Amino acid sequence: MRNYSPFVIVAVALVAAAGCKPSQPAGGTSAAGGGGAESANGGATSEVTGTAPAFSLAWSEYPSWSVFGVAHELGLVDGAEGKLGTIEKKYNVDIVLKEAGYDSCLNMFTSKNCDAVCITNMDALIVSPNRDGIALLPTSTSNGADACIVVGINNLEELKAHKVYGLKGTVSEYCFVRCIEEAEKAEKKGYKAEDFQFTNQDPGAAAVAMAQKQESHQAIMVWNPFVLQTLNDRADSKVLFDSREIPGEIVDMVVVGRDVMEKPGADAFAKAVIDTFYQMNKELTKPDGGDEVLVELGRKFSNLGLEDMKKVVEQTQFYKTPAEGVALLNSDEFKATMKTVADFCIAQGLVESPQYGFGGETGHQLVFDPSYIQSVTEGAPE
Amino acid sequence: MLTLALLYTLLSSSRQTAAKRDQQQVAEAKLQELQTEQTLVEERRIQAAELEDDDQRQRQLGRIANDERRISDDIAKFTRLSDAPDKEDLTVPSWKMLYRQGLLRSCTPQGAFQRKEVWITTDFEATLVRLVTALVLGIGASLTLGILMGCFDPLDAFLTPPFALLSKVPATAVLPIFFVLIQINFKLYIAIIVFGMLPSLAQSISASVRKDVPEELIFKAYTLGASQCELIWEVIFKQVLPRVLDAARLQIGPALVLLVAAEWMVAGEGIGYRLRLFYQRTDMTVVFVYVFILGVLGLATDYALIWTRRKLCPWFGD
Amino acid sequence: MSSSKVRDIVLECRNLSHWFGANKVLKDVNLQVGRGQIVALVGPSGCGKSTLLRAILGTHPPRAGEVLMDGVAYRSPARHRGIVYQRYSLFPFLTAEENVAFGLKLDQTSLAHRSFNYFKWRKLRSAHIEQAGRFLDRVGLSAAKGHYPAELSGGMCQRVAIAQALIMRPKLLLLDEPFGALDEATRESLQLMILQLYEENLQAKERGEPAPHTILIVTHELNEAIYVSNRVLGLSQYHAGGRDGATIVYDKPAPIYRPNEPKDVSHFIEQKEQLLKAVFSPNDIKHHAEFVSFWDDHDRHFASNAS
Repeated sequence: MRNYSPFVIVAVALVAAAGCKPSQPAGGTSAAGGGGAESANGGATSEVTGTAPAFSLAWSEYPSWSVFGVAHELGLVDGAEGKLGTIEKKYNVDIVLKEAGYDSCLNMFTSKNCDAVCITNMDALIVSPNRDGIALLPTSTSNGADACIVVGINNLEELKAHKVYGLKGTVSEYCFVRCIEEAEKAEKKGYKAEDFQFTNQDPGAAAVAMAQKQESHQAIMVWNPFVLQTLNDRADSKVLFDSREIPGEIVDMVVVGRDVMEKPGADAFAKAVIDTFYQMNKELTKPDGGDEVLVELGRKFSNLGLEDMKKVVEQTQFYKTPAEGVALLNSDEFKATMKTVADFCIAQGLVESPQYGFGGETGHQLVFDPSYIQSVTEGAPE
Repeated sequence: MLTLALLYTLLSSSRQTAAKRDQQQVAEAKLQELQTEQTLVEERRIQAAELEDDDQRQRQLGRIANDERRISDDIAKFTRLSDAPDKEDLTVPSWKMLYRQGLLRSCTPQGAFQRKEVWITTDFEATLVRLVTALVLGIGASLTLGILMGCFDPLDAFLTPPFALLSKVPATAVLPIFFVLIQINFKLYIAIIVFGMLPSLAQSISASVRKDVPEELIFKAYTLGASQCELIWEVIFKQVLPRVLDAARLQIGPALVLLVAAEWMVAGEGIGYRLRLFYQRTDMTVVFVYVFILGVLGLATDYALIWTRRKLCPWFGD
Repeated sequence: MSSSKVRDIVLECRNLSHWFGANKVLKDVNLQVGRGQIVALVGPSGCGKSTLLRAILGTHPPRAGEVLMDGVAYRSPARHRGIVYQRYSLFPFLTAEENVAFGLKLDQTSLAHRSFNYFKWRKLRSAHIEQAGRFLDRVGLSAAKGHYPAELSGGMCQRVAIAQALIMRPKLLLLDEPFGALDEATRESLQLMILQLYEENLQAKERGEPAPHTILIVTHELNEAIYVSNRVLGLSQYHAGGRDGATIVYDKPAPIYRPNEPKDVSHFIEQKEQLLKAVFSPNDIKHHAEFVSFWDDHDRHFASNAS
């Protein structure tokens, strides 16, 4: 009886319309993306507002990356789309800051949902087959910021009996394995990484579990701020070993998609990001007001106060000046480090055959290129 | 309410005392350890003083001085710790902490420089704008589709199988697909919530159209001169509206779950984002404040929708 | 004068048959209902009364044969045929008043008109409500105008439903077991309401106007059938060709009284027994032509009057 044929057409059309909407693949960098309604919450990265082209930088809470969040508070950049801070105005480019968890940042980068990402050298290598990248700017290196924290365990031999919680396939596992290798070199007691029980868990969750005195968590392998927090939260915890054993091997950096660099204004974006980072380093080391910036940096991602934050920047050694950054990328040690990292990644099955190069080398999936830093220093008035 | 407050007080105070006791125990044990170490160092000093070789003696004494400095530093630190009255456990904070570090911090402008923000307003605004927009769109789309499905058999036959499948997929499991397919912005959250509610809500509305509209009413409307449009709008829609409002009310909870989960992973502002930050710090002060506000908001929305239903459909009863 | 002119026919069923798969329900139902008649349709349960009613309403057209209204065949429900059901007789989301005015709204305006000429519609709407109010006054429900159906008793609902149908001035009003679920006293007061409609027919006739109400009432209550109608139809599967489905086996006038006239009960009993035998008895299968005599009697009567 319910025979309303003319409506079927309308209905099917409606369904078709409804069906299309949510599945519309909006590539982060495609010019087609973006409608009007989304502006309030950070919109399409490719939308051109006024004359300043917009590029997005995804960052997660980490000492040398949260500086971008503090830069937003200081007004050097404005993380919202369509608004410019002082540095953005200088380069006439719109930096859109996207804050998210570290995993999500990596995902955003590979799915082209952002133009540049804050990432470690190891993960940069791992994601490079999915999206070609250029490493523009080393921000810091881990000098104790990745640590194995234990309770009631005194040496590597005892550690074998316990699960060590940390995020697999990340610098945590890398640091863990490398530190054991180094210990073996020094002590010659037959330590092998396979003998230890590295168990996958989010570092935040692992740190919370240890602070909560959960029986299962006698050993964790985490990065800052979890290292200092756990040491603060649990008085009987201590560091068994940390990334000071492998200086300069874990490098935090900013990587930009190669596809992005072909777009107009991308050079200005790269320069603005680099300039922001070094400006922030100046702010942090200022005799007056530097501490305030440091405390604010700490608030961005932790409960840590000034004293602890001083420790944090010690453990997370910033590449404070362009000269330090360029020196690192050009150094033979770093090239050797990347070889070690690449071998580790291959051995762990994280990547099949990483292709990376340095300086002006082309044809690689990941290139460490100091020329962008150099172009900023050349352009700078001082 | 009172029971909850009481339970919280009990839990919090037990945790606070336990934390303090633990801290004291650890500090005392550590102090004892340090004292024994101190005596050992004394013995070493006596042994070192007897050393013949000047050079060696100097080196040993230097080392011992180093150790002494470390030990006295540690003793000072752990003495401070065992006396420290204000060391608080942040997992279940005391009421005072909840007020100072939770409520006050959430409600007053934060940030040391020119760009300050009030967490509560920015986060709840971001989340609620997302939620309300998505709910309006989702309920509107489900209502349209559901009624059309209920009225037109071919459409129903076409859409019911995919909807039946999709409504069984936990929407949180589909989050990664959405993160990859859609840009991380306002549209993403809307799409996720609409996806989460549309299949089941449209199905339940279509079932309601078939079940709750007796054919007598449809025939009667025709004898009273109704056109097809009028039948759908004046009879079927009005008849199912209160049931739709009830069904939609039940969808708000799951929608909020999805939204907070998505925000937890990818958002730069919003309730989920703030919860993630404070979870990572093991600082539950702000978390408890947010959870409480969420509960109150949920309750308020519930009553608001029931009130709306009573206003719009006074005939439906309670 | 030809007989068809003499018979002022509103509704006609021609060789109407219906079946569901192998189950034959109606077989060659032929039926004419004249203007102003109040016809009661009775029959054993399961004989297809509802199927016939649905065919006449137009919601379920017959498999064979046709239904005509004023000589025009139709196969769908329309505003000329009102219906009062036993259950779901009112729209639950409208007040009594709005229920009665609903037909006026649907019939006289369209969705587009109501949306785009809102203020004109508002004005018309208050006129409708006023008219609906007058109808409710007529059925004695002045106090219940603003109430929703859920707040009304069963009897009140049926009164509102009848008012709702009558406000459309249908050519034919169909009542499907309208008082089946009501208690005895309420039922009688509603039966009286039907008699009032009959009274209106008589008054119109006196004025020389066509009778306003033509009613077909389906009921399982024989007393009610004889009491409220001036013609009783029997539909039954118990006849010579019974295996092929039910057909009209009884068609005779019934006594009808004005609302305040005293009723002659002895007449009732006689006709009731006749009905039981002719319509309801499975053992008495024979040719029923002798009981289907309404129009023959009518024509004969008319002819004798004319000559």
